[in-house]
Amino acid sequence: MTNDATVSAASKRVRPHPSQNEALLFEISSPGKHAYKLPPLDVPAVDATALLGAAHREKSAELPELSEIEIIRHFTRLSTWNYAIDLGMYPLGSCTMKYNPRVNEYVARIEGLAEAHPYRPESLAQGVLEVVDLLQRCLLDITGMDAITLQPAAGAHGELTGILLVRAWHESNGNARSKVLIPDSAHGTNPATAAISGYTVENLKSNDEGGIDLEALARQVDEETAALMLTNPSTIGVFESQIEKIAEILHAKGALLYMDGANMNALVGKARPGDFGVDVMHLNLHKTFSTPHGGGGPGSGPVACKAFLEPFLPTPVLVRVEKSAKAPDAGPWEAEGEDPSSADGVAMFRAPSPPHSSTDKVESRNSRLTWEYNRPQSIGRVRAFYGNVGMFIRALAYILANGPDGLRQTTEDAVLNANYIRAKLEDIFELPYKTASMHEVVFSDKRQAALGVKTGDIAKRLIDYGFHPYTVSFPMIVHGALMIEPTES
Amino acid sequence: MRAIAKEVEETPELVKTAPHSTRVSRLDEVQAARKPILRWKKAEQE
Repeated sequence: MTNDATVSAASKRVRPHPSQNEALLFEISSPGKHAYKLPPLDVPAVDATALLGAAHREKSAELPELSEIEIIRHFTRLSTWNYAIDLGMYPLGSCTMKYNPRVNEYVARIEGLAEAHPYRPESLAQGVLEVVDLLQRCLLDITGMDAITLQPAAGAHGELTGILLVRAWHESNGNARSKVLIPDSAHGTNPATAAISGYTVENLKSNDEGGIDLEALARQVDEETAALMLTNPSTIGVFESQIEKIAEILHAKGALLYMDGANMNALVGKARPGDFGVDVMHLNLHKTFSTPHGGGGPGSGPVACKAFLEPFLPTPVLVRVEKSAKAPDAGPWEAEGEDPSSADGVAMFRAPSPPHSSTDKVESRNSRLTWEYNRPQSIGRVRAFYGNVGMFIRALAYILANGPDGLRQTTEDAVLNANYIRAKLEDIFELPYKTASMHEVVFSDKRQAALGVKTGDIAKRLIDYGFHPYTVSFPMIVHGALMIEPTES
Repeated sequence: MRAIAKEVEETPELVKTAPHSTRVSRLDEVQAARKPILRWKKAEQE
């Protein structure tokens, strides 16, 4: 097949990119048009000037004036310019742009969950609290950690929470310590997190395989090291095979191991950070657990930790108490003896049976969940209310729909897909690190750059073929990086 | 990706000036970052 024919055939497989023009709403506005018609006033008119005083504006705001159909067409046209995971492959490395199954959306729209309000009395919110509790237990099972908070609203927010836990623990031991070690392959948010937590950042050079250089690590870790922030698998898609030794070196000096869980899609069901020495980590529900990225998600970055860090978790912490027990910080609605959740039909939603324990069902019948606020060592709140609960529901739906075997299969497929892409392209693009790939593969533009074409150019050409570009020029340890993460979907 | 790699060898300008199928091609990203226009203004106010 000729080159033109190849391109043509490839182009036919993908959608054409819509390219119609669209003016701003202000530019298509016409005075007097409106999208609604109010009925005549049937209450006494109010003098707005008298009511608002100085706050009453003299001129009306200059807002666009359009009919309803013009507004609908405008935003519908704009929406066709978006590229989305529902339109095609989105191989943005380190972002795990996987398909968001529709069952997640179905469950999140169940009335009792969709309408749950953070100010709803605890006694009337036991269903949604069971969802939160079950998700927490699933995530602890997946990570091998001991305690968790779901409060952080994104990955970087989770990092900040995690490093604040590290700091609080060191402070409780009499010295917050002064520095955090970060490999040169790390996400940029890692050094930002350490700096904003009051630590200086010390760079750790990668070895020839793209992993941690153990000798360099041993030289750099000292009694002033608070933690190492490590992404595993690393940003070049390589598993840190020396991870247990890394943890040993850190722990010997009283430093902790923080794991950036951005790449957890390569580990779920196969390896648990809690088993290989990690002390604290964050997860990205919007990556690994299929909640949306689009429009800001919203994201969700739970932080899981070992038991010794549990006292420092953000408040409030979800605890299970016996049904007769008064909540630790019961609100005024929690009158003694009153327990509306025990009445048939009051609880809005019952969580499905927990996946791993038959005794859990009995336990949830004889107990209730409550938020515990009285935690003197806590780092305090990191977010209003309890986190992005809508994302918890979607993530739990994903976990339960897949089950342990399904999640493991997902991981295997994600790794298989990345290696398929590697095998298909490694004769054409330079592969700087030959170590076995996990969930993503990173090439260099070395051969193409010699002809004057850089990674950014190739990424932009990929748009013409109907694909979202891969991650460009990251990680920094690869010159002209092409970072491709196909995910399992 | 293989087709693009071939284009790099045979018609590099095609790749260097991509994308060709979008409403706007290459944005001035530096200008956009340094002098972002985030608010609409009436023509006579500019």
